[in-house]
Amino acid sequence: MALTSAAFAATIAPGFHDPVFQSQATFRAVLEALAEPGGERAVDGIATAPAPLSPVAAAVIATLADFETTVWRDAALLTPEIEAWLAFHTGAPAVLDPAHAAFALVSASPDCPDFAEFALGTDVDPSTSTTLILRVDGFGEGRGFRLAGPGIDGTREVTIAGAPADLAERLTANRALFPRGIDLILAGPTSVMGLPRTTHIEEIR
Amino acid sequence: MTAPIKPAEGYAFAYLDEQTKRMIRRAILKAVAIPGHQVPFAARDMPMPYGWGTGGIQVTAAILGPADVLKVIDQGADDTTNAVSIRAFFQKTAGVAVTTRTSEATVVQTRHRIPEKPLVAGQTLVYQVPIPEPLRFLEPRETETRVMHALADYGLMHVKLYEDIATHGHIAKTYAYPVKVEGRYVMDPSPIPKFDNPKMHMSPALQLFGAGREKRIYALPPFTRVASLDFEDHPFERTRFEAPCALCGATDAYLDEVVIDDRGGRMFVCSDTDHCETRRQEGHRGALLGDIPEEARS
Repeated sequence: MALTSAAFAATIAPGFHDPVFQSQATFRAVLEALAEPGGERAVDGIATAPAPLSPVAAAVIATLADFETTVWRDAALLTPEIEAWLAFHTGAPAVLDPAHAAFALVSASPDCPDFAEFALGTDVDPSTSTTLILRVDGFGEGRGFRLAGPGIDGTREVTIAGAPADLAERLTANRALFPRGIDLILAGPTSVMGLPRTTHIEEIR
Repeated sequence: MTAPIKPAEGYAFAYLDEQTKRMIRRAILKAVAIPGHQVPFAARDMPMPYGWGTGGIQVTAAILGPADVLKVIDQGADDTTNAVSIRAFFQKTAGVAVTTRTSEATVVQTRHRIPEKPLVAGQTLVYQVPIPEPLRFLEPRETETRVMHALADYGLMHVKLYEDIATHGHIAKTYAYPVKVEGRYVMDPSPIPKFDNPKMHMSPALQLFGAGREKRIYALPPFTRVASLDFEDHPFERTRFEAPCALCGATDAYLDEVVIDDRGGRMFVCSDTDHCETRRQEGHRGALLGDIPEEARS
């Protein structure tokens, strides 16, 4: 039986309560995060977003996605509630092939496909690559990494909990494709960290 | 600084609709991720003609928030038509605080200058760009220049600079002097004087470039290596001035030439009005700075 519109609406949780200013604040946090890789930027997450979509990842996708952008989700996020929430709040078409994704939402690191399976852009237009929004457990604990590249004065050391075990290898392979490659936004519990394709990364063991 | 005001009713915050802002924001993020690469974006018609900063104003509108303090300069001056109009535009549509002081601003929109006062971390410089393609006058076809960037094929640019040396004895380009970003992309820094080029290198501030007519956005994240193109035996040289600023005596600033009579008299004054005023307030005096008449002092 098809849902009535009232019943359907009741299943969709709210998004931003103040879309103009919350999306502006979230955008500036993401902009600073990508401009200064490894820096942590606070984001006011959307607490009402349907689990397991994290509040911070929900805020980032609600800020950036719309009818012009395709969104890919990992298996854990393929729920009807999240489908309806994204459709209502962003209007972004869902895709199942990561190579066609403008944005990718990854909630569980073990489920994250190889970065090379996403859109990598072309040499002529490398900006058409996927922006990956990866949920992590937090910053300031977990495994340590040393970062260098544009946006960093010298080197910067960060710790990330709950990232893919082979994050450094994945990003090094991604770096080798420059100017092609994906860009990574790590969504922690209350903040974001950016790891664009330009960043050199090595794990500190 | 002029405090925030209530924006005029009937406007979306900072003029642009939310979908346009999202589209521009996505372009800015990719531009930051690929320093020096020109990202296409769907520039909108703005309530001003092309050539008056429609690219810069769209970038500013997409990043601006209520807590920002905006400074707008045109050739270094806060009080010229373009700067005054754009400042008033954002006061009216976004209600943001505005300033002429470089040190107070969080966002500086600029036409053709970088402020003399070094920018600091947390500040964003938004350039108005007329022609974003550094190879445009060497290769008119966009299809070709995009492939040249893809292949990092910049031989033609070096030939052009070499021909300058062969003809004039030095690289004759004095503004929009091409730079190479992180050893990869050759980028047009917009028509800033080459005097300002070294300020882009490893700047702690975020630099965003918007070209409205040409529909391109590009960026330099903070602490990005920016090298002005040159040759080992003809290294890049910054413009030097023979005389100090006639009003504030500055010897390290970019100067404008001003004709002051019909007998060939001229003076050189700082192009950056905030820099010049700040120095005068600090007591620096140039050769032509007069005294305020006794009766005019309050």
